[in-house]
Amino acid sequence: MAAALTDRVWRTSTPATIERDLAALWRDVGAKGPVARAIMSNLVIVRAARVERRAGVSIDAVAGQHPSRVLIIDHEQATSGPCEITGARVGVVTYGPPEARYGVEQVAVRSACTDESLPALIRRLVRGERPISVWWAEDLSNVPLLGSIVDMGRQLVYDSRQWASIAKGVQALEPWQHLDLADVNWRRLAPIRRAVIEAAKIDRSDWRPSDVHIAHRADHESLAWLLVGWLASRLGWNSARPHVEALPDGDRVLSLSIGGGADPVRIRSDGRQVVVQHASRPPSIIGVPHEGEADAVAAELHTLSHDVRLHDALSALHRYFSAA
Amino acid sequence: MSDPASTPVSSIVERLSAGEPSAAAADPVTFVIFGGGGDLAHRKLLPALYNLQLDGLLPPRVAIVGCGRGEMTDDAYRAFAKDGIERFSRRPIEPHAWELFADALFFVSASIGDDRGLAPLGARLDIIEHERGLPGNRIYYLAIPPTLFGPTVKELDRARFINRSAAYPFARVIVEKPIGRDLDSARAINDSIAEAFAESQIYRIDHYLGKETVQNILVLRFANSIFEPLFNARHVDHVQITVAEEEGVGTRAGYYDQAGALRDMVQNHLLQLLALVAMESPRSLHADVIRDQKLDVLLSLRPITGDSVATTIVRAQYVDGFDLGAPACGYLAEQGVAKDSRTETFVALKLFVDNWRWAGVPFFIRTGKRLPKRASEISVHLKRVPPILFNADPSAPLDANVLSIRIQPDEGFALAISSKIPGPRGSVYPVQMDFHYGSTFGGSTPEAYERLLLDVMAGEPTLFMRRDAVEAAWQWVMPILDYWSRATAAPLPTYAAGEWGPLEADRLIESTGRQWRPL
Repeated sequence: MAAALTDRVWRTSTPATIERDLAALWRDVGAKGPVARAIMSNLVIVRAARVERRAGVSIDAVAGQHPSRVLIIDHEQATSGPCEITGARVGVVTYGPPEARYGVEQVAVRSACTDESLPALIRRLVRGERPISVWWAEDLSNVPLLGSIVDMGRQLVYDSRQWASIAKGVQALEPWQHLDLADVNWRRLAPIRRAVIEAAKIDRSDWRPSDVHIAHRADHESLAWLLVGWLASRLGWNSARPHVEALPDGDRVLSLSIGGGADPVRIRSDGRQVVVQHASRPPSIIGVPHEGEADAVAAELHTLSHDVRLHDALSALHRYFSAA
Repeated sequence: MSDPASTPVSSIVERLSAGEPSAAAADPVTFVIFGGGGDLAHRKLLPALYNLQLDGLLPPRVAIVGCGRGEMTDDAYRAFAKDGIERFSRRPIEPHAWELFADALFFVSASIGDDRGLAPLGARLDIIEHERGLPGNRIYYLAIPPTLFGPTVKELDRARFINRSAAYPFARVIVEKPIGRDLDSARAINDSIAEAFAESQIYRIDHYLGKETVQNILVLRFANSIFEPLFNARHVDHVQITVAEEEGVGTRAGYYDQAGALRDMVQNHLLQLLALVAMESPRSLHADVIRDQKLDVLLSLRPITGDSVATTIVRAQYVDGFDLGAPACGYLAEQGVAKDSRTETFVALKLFVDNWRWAGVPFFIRTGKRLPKRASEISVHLKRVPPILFNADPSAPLDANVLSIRIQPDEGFALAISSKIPGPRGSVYPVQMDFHYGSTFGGSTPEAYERLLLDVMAGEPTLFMRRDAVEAAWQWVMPILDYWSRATAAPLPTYAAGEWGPLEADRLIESTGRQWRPL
């Protein structure tokens, strides 16, 4: 939960005057009372300029919890010619009570550049001593990753829930296994993984893919496949896959049954709790952390580490889809 | 890709659990709070457990059973918990999380010393655990006066609630300070608990150790190469530890008047902070390795005995003064305080850690009630640069570098350094490199109790005090208490409410050529 946003000021800028304009903004903000300039990292947010924007995660809410120098790149890919900056704005957003006010600076650039020329602009704008996280706000199975930008980052944050095509999303990430990948959807899977471990304490047989049936709501297909990838990587499944099917719309986000016999362990998630059921015992209930989308993105940004489990799950999925 | 299937790990649970975060408590547990209807449960424990629920960190199967003398239905207990959460939780009630949490709450009326003993509790726990599929793992939180620790533990043992030998189902007990009012009573309490519980089952809470900034002391020292080489007598001039409270004794007068600042704060919180600052680097993060190193510091404290008590320790009591401009009464006028009380509400002392690392470095400690503000801080004052170059002018000596660790409020740390003022004169000015938890990490910081309760559920004892450390701290404090108990005719310094303690405290540090750091 972030400190409350208290103020936001923006002004139009140009590529050449971004730093100067930001300094002037900080002076204006500082004139209203003490404010700490908070920068944990550089947060590069790439958005496709021509994609119609749905109501997404609030950048201000993320930045309030993970204070960064925020660089918002609304990018329109050019095929040749010099990098054209068609608009730039700078802003300072402040949070918290007067006695503990802190501010986060944001730079928004609208560009029409070639993939190769865009990094030069970003290099100019980042604080070099801070880590760079790239937050790919688009469906990366649909809007291709800009390799030149992604390669600048230590961490790539994305949300596979947006993916129109699971196979294409997995494929798009394949070259970036050396980065710290952070999938917000993987975070959503955590209570379900916990539930599966609970199930394994009940059914201790050696699970085969055919023992597992997964059903998902239409908008959670990627969650189901991440689960498949995790199970496959942990249990050493190679080519055989569990059964995955879409559910009709309803309360259930995802459900699965595990066990080959007549009495399988059933797991059911409604997005607020995950219930593990088996005839032999009362249900186990795992609370789903109460956090919003911005909380989840900020929490992922806080964690600079190589999540081997996610990487392994993606590799397993890549093998599955390549074989198909 | 790693290949878990090819590893010798055979259990499917272990293969699936590999790499999963251990932050969440996994084992089903029944959490029994003795004093479940009391202030601590209301203000701290139930809100902390609720916040763990919000974060999805409680075990998949859990029951929280309040136990107390009064009669209360489960529903009334849920209302009591909800009221505590609404008033004291760092996050508000979220309906679905509350529903889950409330479903796990129960209350049982039982009284130690009653003929029935814990029989009603045992019967109810059996039913709850059966209905919820709980295997009998139990955590007993003794949120009750220390005088009841022994009898309660004895009853638990007599009722066969404690499995001392087997690891599963486990039984753990959490005890709150004060653990005794002197070394003998601390030993007696520890002995009585040890009759039923093994040391590995006992979790002695010092909530200061659950604070994020206190945990960060070890990170600051041992995850950064810049500081640790400086933490020794060669570079450090002195260390100050201040824990200041702005409130008076309030509703705790009955307890506090029997305790005083030395017992209430120094023997536990401040010596624990000192141990973290002064300890040697542990060889691992294993709980007992860290606790061994902290114990070494306590055992290295130079004893303060006899007349040296009078010269190295200042105790004082607040008198009428002001709190934020409004009149504030003196200690003796507080309700519940004996009119002739000589209990100290402030203590300042100079002490030494007699080991190779800290030889000759004074540690100044102060704590008190009705001070100008609530502020806890550790400051490490480095030695001044020699009086040459920029420090050559004796009329304008340079400030020493100071690393200050703010424990509360405005958690963070700062490094005071000297910097050139822009311009042709080459003047030097002290500036701050300042780190604030709030502005750096955003969000709200978990309460100490959240971390500590989660650690007990996970069986992680690092942040809890071991018996030997508690008794070592009492051992060091006892000569001071003994001296004071004899020096009944000695004048007791006073300070006005709203001041930073008595003049004698200033003289204590100023006699060494140093000053208290302004807070």
